[in-house]
Amino acid sequence: MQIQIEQTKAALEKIGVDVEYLRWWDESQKGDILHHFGLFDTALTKLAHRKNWKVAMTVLLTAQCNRSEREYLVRKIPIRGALALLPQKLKAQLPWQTYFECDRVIVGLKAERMVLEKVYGVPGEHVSVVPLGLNDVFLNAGPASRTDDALICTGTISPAKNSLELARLAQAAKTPMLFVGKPFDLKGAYWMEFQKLIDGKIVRHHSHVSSAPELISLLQRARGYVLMSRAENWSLAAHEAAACGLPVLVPNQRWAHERFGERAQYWPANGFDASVAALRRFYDACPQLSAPGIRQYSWVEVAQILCGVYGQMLQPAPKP
Amino acid sequence: MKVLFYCLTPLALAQDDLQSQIIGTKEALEQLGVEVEFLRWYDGSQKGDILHFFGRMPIEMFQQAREKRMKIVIADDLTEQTSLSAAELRLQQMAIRFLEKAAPSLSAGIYNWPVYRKADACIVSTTREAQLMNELFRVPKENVHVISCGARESMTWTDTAKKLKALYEDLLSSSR
Repeated sequence: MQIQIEQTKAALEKIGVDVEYLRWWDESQKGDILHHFGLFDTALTKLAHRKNWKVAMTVLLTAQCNRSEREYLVRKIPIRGALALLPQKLKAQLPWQTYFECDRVIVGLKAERMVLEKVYGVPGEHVSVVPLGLNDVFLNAGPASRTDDALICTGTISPAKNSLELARLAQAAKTPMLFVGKPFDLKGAYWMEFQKLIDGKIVRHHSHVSSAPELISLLQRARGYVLMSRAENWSLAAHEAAACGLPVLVPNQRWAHERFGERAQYWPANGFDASVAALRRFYDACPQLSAPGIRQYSWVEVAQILCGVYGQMLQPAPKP
Repeated sequence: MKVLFYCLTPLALAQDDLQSQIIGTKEALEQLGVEVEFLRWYDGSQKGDILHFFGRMPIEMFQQAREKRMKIVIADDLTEQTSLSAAELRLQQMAIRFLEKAAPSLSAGIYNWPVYRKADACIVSTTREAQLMNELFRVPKENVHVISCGARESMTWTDTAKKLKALYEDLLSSSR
């Protein structure tokens, strides 16, 4: 989210849009549009409207956009019921009410828009799909040499990324794997456990890299890219790897299918043995696999799309 | 000791009393030598020992602050609850208990009640609110502190700040 906010702001400024971070403590700050990342409180949306600020809200429906149809139905019934039946005072306290109060909900994936429409009943025209961008250095990275024998996995070493589980799979499949990323918690048990698996042969660890060229160099030497997060809603890391010319093995989730389609390899639904076999297959196949040549966006392109959305929001409402 | 102040209501949209509460407290604490910064939500490098939050903190944000090993102080007013009748309060208490049992994660995600219990300290303005913190949200009495806000331009801001400073020091010393 931090990258998305910083890059979007910089790109909007590049194309001439005046953007400031909201200084919540500064009562004199002015603006036309308040673009909030995350759910914005319904009451605050109303206050913003009183100030004639339009409210755009970028939400991540990471877990939700990867659920099954049955799970959507199970969620839809109480949510729609609450939105339809509760008295106005109680309804105003429901966090979902803000989807209807704000001027525009912004998501990165069609799958997320589908959740908003299907589960919450948000009108489709109230939701804009704005992709995430990539830094130009990744977009212009050029072909990869892929000379190393190890696969690569980038990102924080954390339960959310399933780093420990992936390291165990790599050991079982005997597929060398380079993990690039800081531990989420240096003093935590998860990192302690992970450290025990680092042997420099099968499980390798490279501490966090701070520069994009260094990361690109690591990616382009790798045999292939592996992501095993519990849930994602875009995964900039997987997109960076794809832009650097690596074939990718990604979770069998809706976001991944929307972004990579047939051009990626997918983890099996469950089972340790099946996952070991899938990892080994991917490892063996990597030299013959090419990177998914998917459409990627620069942050400036993202800013241009966003600018169009802002423009629509600022247009006066049609007279009834 | 560095304290970060945060409030989800932008002061440009807030009522005057919230503005003066936050600004007045910050200035008074600084006069006592406490380092206070407004939390810059966009600045990933900002550091602090204590997060002093004004309002009911979203549970997700609470967890993130905890992961950063910050002490968390929540200052909230229960004005609405103090104006309820005994029967209405009883009803609200029952509704909270029921939802917390029947749908703990859903109710926590929507109403964020558990943050009061989990915080290192809760600050309210009156003894009645302190009592309600305990009765409605089951916050241990020893974690609720009655620190009323001083009025601007008067000496009472210093009194507020002194009490807060002592509380911060207490929280940090207990973690050592």
